[in-house]
Amino acid sequence: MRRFISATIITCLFSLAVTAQSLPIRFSDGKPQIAYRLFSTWADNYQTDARRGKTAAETILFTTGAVALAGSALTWFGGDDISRNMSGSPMDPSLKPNLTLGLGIGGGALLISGMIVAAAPIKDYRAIYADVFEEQDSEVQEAMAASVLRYQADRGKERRVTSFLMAFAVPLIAGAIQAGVNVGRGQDWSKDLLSTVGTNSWWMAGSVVSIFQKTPEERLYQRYLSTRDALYGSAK
Amino acid sequence: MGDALRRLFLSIGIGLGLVSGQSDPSLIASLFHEAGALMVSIRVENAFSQGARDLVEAGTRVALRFSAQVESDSKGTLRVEETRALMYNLRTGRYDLALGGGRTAALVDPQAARALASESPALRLCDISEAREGARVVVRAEIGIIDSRGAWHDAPVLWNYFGPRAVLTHDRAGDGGR
Repeated sequence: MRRFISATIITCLFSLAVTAQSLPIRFSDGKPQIAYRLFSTWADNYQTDARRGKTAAETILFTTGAVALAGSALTWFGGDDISRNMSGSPMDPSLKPNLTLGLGIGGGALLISGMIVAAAPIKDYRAIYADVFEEQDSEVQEAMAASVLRYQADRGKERRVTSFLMAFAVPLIAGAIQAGVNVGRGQDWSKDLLSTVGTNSWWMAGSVVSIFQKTPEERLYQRYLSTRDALYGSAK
Repeated sequence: MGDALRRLFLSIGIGLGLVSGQSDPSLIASLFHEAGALMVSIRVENAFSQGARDLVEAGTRVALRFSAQVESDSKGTLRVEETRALMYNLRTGRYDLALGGGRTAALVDPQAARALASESPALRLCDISEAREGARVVVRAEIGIIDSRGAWHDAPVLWNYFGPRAVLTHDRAGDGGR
């Protein structure tokens, strides 16, 4: 059975190499590289996804920013005419400057955010891990790639746990602030406490989902381990 | 601010045992005198990251190279180095440790094996009189992988490209290890 699984995996890896063209499978000591293959695909995919995500974020931020600014200008210069056409009376004099200002500030903030996103460089893992990509000994290259997969998986787990704890802390901190404010005002410390904690507990709900959902890097390392073990048996 | 919060919650996660923290390697070195010679002892803490441990367990030879150099009065720059390599031997079920000078050891306990592989307790630099008074002793540690032919390959990726280094000052009257 194990032999069959190994043969299937090797065939799959071969067909991947043939179809991918760009990266032929290298062998270390007669064994196909597993970690390096997964690692290089991960690095390339990360690059492509990051570029795509950056373009999408820029488009959304610049478009909504421009629309908000245009809305602000329209409110200021044509708000009364629009209001007259729709309700027969000019705009509420207190609403006009507030709406103009709100849209203007919001639009400006979105445009600035778009500029920040546009200026932020995308992490180039091909440059960061240049020594792994350029290593000539395929056995050593495989070992280095395995260590990168492990490192990235660990960082992924750290991110997952950290964001879970942070999200868990938000309602508690909000509750503590509410209690502090109540005491400061001389009111019952528990006044509105439940509603404050309840409103912020959406964070908590989201984090509970994320704690059980492994990051792509963790799944990738798991994939490496299971493929390696299927081919060569468990290391220890 | 964001980074500080991340660190705070990460340490809570480590404290709760939800995640294992990984620290950068740090180099601890000290100079001392022994039988008229200037000696240096070097140790790297956190030398074996999870990735490096995994490699050792899988039978890859992970090695540490310790080096120290000092300016001498008569012989210019003197440099000494020692390499220690560790791998798990799947056949014997022990950790094979290659110490400097062709010495080897086979250990059962992984922690002891890693601790021995992470230090070079007594490297002889030169005679005390040869080293210039107040000379800087530059100590470095590198990590690498030994291939099947026994050749060294730099693998700074195992330390996430962190290369620990220390600079000590030689004091003829008796090195305090600073």
